[in-house]
Amino acid sequence: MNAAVARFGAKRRVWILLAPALVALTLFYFVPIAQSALYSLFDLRFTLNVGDARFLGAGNYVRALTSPVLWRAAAFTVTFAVVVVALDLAAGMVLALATYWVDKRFRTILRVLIIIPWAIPNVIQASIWRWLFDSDVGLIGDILVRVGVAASPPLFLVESELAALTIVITYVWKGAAISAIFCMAALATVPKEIVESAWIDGAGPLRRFVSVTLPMMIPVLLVALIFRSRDALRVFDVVYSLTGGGPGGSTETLSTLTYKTYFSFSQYGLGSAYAILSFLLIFSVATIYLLRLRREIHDPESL
Amino acid sequence: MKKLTFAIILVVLSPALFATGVGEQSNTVTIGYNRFLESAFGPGDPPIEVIRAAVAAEYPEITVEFNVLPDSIGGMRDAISVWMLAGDGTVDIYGIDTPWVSEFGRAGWATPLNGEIDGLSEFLTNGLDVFSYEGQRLGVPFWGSISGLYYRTDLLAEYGFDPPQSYDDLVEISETILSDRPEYTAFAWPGAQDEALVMVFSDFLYGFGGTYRDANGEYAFDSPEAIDALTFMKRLIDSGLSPAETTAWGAEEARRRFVEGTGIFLWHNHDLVTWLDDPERSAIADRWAFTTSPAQPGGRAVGVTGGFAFAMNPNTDAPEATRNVLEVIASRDVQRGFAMAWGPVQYYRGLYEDPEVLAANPNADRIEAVLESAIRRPPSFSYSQLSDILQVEIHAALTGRKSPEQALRDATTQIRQLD
Repeated sequence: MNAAVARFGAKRRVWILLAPALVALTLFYFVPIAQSALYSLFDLRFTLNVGDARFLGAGNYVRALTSPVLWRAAAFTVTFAVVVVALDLAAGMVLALATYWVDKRFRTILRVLIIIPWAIPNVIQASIWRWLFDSDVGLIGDILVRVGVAASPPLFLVESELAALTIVITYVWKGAAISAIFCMAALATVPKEIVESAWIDGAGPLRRFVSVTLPMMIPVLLVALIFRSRDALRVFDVVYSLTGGGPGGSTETLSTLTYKTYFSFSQYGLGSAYAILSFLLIFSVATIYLLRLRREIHDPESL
Repeated sequence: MKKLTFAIILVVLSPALFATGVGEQSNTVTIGYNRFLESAFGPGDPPIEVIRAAVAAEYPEITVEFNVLPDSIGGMRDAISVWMLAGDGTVDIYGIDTPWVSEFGRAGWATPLNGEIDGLSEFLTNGLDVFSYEGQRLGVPFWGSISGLYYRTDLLAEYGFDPPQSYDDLVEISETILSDRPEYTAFAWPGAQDEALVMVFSDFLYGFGGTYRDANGEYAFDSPEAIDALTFMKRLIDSGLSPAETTAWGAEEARRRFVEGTGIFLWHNHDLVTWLDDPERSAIADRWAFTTSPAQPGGRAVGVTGGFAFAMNPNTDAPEATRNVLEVIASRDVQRGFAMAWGPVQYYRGLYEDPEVLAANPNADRIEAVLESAIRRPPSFSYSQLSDILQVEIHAALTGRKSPEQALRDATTQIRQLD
C-alpha cells in the first residue's frame, strides 16, 4: 500500500515538475503550429479571420510546392545548413581543444574570447559584419585591396556566391562559439584515466583523440548536432539583416521566405503553408537525429 | 497557505490592474515613425517637438509618446503590419507610405478620417488623394517626395554643356568629363535590391517610352521600351559610368559621392535641396541643380512620387485623444513646423506664401518644374509583392544573372498573377 502511494506521489511530482514546460510548449509551440496548420488551409490575405476566408484545402500547399521560389529557398537552406553545421562543429572542436592546449594562465581568457560572439545578439552581429563587408567603406574589402588580393573591393553582398559566403562566415563566427561550448562540456566528461591509459599504452595524441576522446564525446556532439542543425535550418536574422534574401533571392531561406510572405506581403494562408512545410523539414531532420541519439544511448557499440 | 498565495498574486497583479485603468480611455497617444521625426534638416525644431508643443498647448491632458520604428521602409511596414494583424494598439498613430495605401485601405488597417479631422479641408486635394482608398481619407499628409536628377552646374558650365534632356546627352556629358576627370563618378543611383530601385526603374521606364500598363490595362514591364530601359541601366554599370558598387547602393550610399563633390549626376528624391547648400554638410554648395530625369526621344521625363501621412490605428485604445492629436498635426502650425524642419513638399494650402517658410526653403522653387512631371509608383493592391518581384528581377539583370529581357518577362509573368 505504502509503495503504491509513494509511486502515485512520485508520478504526481513528475507531472507537477513537467507542467510549466508543457504549458509553455503548448502555448508557444503547439498552439501556433496548430494555428498555422489551420490558416494554411484558407485564402487569408490581410486578415486572419478564418470565418470570412475562402477554404482552399491543400490549395496553398499545391501553390507552395509548385513555386520555384520555395524550392530555391529550400535548396539554399539545406545546403547552408550542411555547410555551416560542419564548419561550426569543426571550428568549435578546434576552439575547445585549444582551451586545453594553451597554457593554464590563458585558458580563462581564451574561454571568454570564445564566449563573446555567442553573447552578441544576431542582429547586432549581422550589422557589424554588414559594415565590415560593405563595398564602399568596409574594412575587409579595403584590406583585400591593400594586400593586393583584389583590384577593387569585392561586392560581397551583391554577387550571389559572395553573399552566400558572407552569410556563412557571419553565421559560423557565432556558431563556432556555441559549438565550442558544447565541445568543452563534452571534453570535460571524458575520464582522464582512460586517456592516460591510452597514453601509457603508447597511443599518440591523434590516436588518443580519434580512438578514445572523440567516441566518448559523441552523445554530447549529437545533441550539439541537433541544436545546430535546427538553428541552421531555420536561420532568419543573419540572412534578413545581411542580404534580406538577395541578391535576386539567391540567399532566400525558408524562414525569410515565410516571413516575407506572411508579414511583408500579408498572405497569411500561403505564408502558413510555407511555415508548416519548413516545420516538417526540421521535424524530419530532428527525428532522424533523435532516433540516432536514442540508439546510441541504448546501444553505444552500434556506433 | 492558499490565502497567502492568493494575496501574493493579488499584490503582484494589482499595479497592472490599476495601471490599465479599466474602463477609462487613455490620454497617452503614441506615434510610430522612424527616427527622422526627431531630426531637423532645416532651421526648424524636430517635428516631434513641434507636435508635442502644439498638443500641449491645445490638449494639456494628452501625452504624446514616440515609438521609433526601423529606418528602412520595409522594416517599418513589417512592424506596423504585425501590430495591425494582432489587433494591437502599441501605436495609435503611424506613418503610412504612399504605396501601402491600397493594401492598408483594403485590409481596414487605417481608420477613415473623412469628417473626423476638420483640418483636412486645408490640404491640397492631390495631397489627400495620394492617401485615399475608395474615397476614404486614410492619412494626414506630412511629407511628399519626388525623384529627379541632380547635376553639377559648375562642371557642366566648365565643359560647355546644358543640362541633359536625354540619356544620350547624359552619356555624352559624362564621357567628356570623365575623360578629364576619371576619378569622378558619372551617374550615381541606388541599384541595391530595395524599394528605391523600383523608383529608379520607373524613371528609366517612362524615359524610354514605356508605361506600367499597356493600352489593355495589363502590366507591361516586359515591353520593348522597358527592356531598352533596363538594358541601358545595365550598360551604365558595364561601361563604368555608374560604378559596379551601384548594385549595392541604397539611396544614402548613392548620394555620398555627389555630396562629397566627386559625382556629376545623381538620381535622388528632392529632399537634398533642403541642405545641399549647407557647406557644413555638402562640398558642392551653390554648385548643383535639380531637374526632371532625362527622357529619350519618344519617352516621357517623369519624377516618381512618394510621401508619408499619419494614419490612425483602428485598434487604438485612445480614439478620442488620437483624433485630437491628428487634428493638431493637421493644423497650420504643425504643418509649418514640418516645412521648417524638413523642407518641401508639404501639401498644406498657402504654406509657401509664408515668408518665414520661404526663407527656410530657399530652394523650394527648384522642385516646382519637377512636380509637374510627377507619376505614382506602379498601382497595385499587392504593391509590396509587386515591388519585391521587380526588385529581385531588376537586380538579377543588373548583376548579370539574367538578361534584361528574361528578368522583365519573369517579373511580368509573376506580377500579372497578383491582385
